[in-house]
Amino acid sequence: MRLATPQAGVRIFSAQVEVGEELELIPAYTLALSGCNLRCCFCITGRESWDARAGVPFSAADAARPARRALEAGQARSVLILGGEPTLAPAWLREFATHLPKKAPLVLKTNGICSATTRAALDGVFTHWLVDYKFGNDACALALARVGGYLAALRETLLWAAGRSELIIRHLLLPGHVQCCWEPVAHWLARHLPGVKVSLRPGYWPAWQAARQPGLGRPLGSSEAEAALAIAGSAGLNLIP
Amino acid sequence: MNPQTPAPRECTLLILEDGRILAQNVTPALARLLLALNPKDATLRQRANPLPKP
Repeated sequence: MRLATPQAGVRIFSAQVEVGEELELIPAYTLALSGCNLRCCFCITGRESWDARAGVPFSAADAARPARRALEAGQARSVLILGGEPTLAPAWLREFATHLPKKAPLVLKTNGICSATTRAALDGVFTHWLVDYKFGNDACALALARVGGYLAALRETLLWAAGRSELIIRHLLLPGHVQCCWEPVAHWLARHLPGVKVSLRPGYWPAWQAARQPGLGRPLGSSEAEAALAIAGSAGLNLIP
Repeated sequence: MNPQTPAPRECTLLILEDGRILAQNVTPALARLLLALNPKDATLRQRANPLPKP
């Protein structure tokens, strides 16, 4: 397998201990890599995520040093790499992992849109894959994230990751998209990954370019959140906080 | 390569007109602040006082 040169072009736009992730992962030392392969109009870090030149270049060793310190000091339970889209830098991720304690929980937060080659390069590197299942159909994916063939690519990653790591699937509820996106996501998960941990996130924030899309310029309604929970309940999903 | 520690992200709050508070990039300190505003929130309490495993 041929991998890109380690550290080439990897830039980081934030790093800190956070407690907003899933409870079993927090406190997490989170590290955000610049650049993404999706163009989600509602991205909360759109400026940095869309721009691979944002942030500051860091070697894997330099970036791992404060993460390791946070683990050793008991300030963090896990290290969580997000973006942007971190799978764009598989060689850097592999090296980053070598600088952490071997038993440290290492979480890859990804949109799941990556190639089989990338997945193979990351096999065994992370203890957890935290995968966003953002859209329930290809039309919404194309309209809101400018990505084609979304479902097929995403599902391939989910089924692959389920057998190789602790898998958590996250879905951010979008206003006006409970029926077209969340409901089919819930049904697919119930059928194909029964029992998988599902993190249903109701805290949609109308950020970045969201207001350009009809209906996305507002927060999620309380009735929508209740409807989403009812769908999860009827599908028998394993929701985690 | 940059030998510095990567910069921390901003923590941001959005207070909705119905009183809901949304938060991004929640640090332990921000979680404690939010808990002070809503002390009955059990999930928030867990976020404000997470116990790292050794």
